[in-house]
Amino acid sequence: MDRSVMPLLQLDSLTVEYRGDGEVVRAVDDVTLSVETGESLAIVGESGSGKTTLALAVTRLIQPPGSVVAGRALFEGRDLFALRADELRRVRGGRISYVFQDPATSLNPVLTVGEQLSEAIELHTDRRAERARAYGVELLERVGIRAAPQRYDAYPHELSGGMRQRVMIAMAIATRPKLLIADEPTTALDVTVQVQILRLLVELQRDLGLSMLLITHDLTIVERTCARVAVMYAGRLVEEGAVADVFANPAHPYTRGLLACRPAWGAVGRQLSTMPGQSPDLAKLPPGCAFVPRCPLVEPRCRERLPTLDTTAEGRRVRCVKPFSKPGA
Amino acid sequence: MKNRVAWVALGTIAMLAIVASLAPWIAPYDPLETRIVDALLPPSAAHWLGTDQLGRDVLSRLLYGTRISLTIGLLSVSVAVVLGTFIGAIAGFFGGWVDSVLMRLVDTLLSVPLMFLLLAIVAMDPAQQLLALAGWPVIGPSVKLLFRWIDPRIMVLMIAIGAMSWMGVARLVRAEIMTLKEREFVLAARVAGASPWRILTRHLIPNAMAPVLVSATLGVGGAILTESVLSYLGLGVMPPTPSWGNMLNEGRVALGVAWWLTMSPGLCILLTVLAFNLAGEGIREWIDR
Repeated sequence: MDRSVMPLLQLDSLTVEYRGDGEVVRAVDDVTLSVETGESLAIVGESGSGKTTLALAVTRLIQPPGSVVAGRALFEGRDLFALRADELRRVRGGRISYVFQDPATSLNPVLTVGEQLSEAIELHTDRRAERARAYGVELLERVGIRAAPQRYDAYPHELSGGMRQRVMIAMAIATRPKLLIADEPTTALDVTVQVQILRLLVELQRDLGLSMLLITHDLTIVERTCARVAVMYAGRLVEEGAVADVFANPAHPYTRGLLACRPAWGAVGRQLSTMPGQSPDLAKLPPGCAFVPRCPLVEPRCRERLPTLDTTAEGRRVRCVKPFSKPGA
Repeated sequence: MKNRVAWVALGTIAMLAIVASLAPWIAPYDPLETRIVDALLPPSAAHWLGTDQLGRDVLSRLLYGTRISLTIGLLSVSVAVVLGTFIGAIAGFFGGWVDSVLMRLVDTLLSVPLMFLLLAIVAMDPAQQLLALAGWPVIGPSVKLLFRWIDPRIMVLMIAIGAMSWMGVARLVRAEIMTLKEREFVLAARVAGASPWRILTRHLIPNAMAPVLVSATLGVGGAILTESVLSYLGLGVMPPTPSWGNMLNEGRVALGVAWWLTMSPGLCILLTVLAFNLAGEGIREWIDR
């Protein structure tokens, strides 16, 4: 296949299972997705929907008792699961970077910001130590940290939550990666800081030509940051398409439910709607559609067979026997 | 309040270290010079702490003894810390059968009465001792070269005490590493492309050092005590080289007539061990605060 037309990241039928106590839990079930160069894709779902597992699988960080049991993950045309340990280390942090949810725990408390930044730089570039400092300070400035030379020598506990996340982002972009995976990057932060961090991510993604995989449960974030969205439920992809389309006309009842749960402007005093039921037990999934117990539109055939992920006329993929269609269509 | 106690303890240790390093310059007499005519003089202006059976100045011997005791204490603890950190870190990081094997080794060594093993080792002559400590084909000779200025017996004593007391540190480090390796910054280091060795040495071990520091400080007191006991039994530092332990031993026979011979080294041991214990407690509180 010609590499120039290939997506940056192509997941083919990726399946991750956790085994234990005679139970097998399929955390990620047959997910096929792609991220183009320079594109931002949001993966949305409740806790336990497999979105973080999916992200960890891409960087091959699934630990026993979990394992990738099927599928491929092609990154720049190479199968990530076939890489040797040293090749993998070059990809991790070098070509694919990761921003975690909680910067308070994902920075090493005994190393200064500079030491951790220069670690990323030293691991993946041949910059010399004295140049590493100048570059590190430049990176801190790039992510909007004021008084960067002073912050470079600070320890993580001397920084605010927002600043720590900026440091994490600086570390992530230090090696000029192609793909940035951000796993709930703003969940642990104050609301005001959230907006700043999201703005920074979008800006960096645009300016550096990064592809971004944003994992989140927060749909309002998706609208601000990403071009495409993939909705996961019980480890399966249930809907995928352009953010504008999906938000305007959610096709899957689950997506529709999620969107209805969002607080809206001007809705003061109105009760927030919630989705009935709870996220399913992955060890005891029904044979048909996993959303059956919570679906307002359930039909007998929903219980019989898992609906396939069909591509609609608008290029959207939906896993439902009776997707909503455009109003009037 | 506690804090002040710890500072006093640390101050005492610092003073001991200064005294030990300046011993040749501040000691009023040669610690080995015998003057039988001056034997068993009680404390006076000429001999602040009196003299022993051979007319040697007790203060001078005490100052030189500080050197020996502190050196043995610090270095044997260093041996224990290096060994314990290494073994504990490997066990905690790799887990599985590696962990099982290493921890059973620790259990086994902990169930051996340390003192008798030490007695057996130090009762051998130095050449044999180095062999007995083998499994150390490289470390043995290089340590010997490094510390040529120290009596090989003393060196063996240090290594023996260290090699017999690393198990506590190993358990401590193992437990720390096991909790630390689940922390998110380790995952972050892995996704940043760091190798397991780098993660262990740069991210995990430095984070596990705080409790080791406490344990090491407390350990120095224990090591000094062990040295004193061995020397007292005549198996540690050999006369005429003064150590607090063998000074106690030599003073023992004259206990009825010359109390100053046992009083001063005894008090030194007491104060030093106490200072290290209080300092260790202080550091623990400072870390846990």
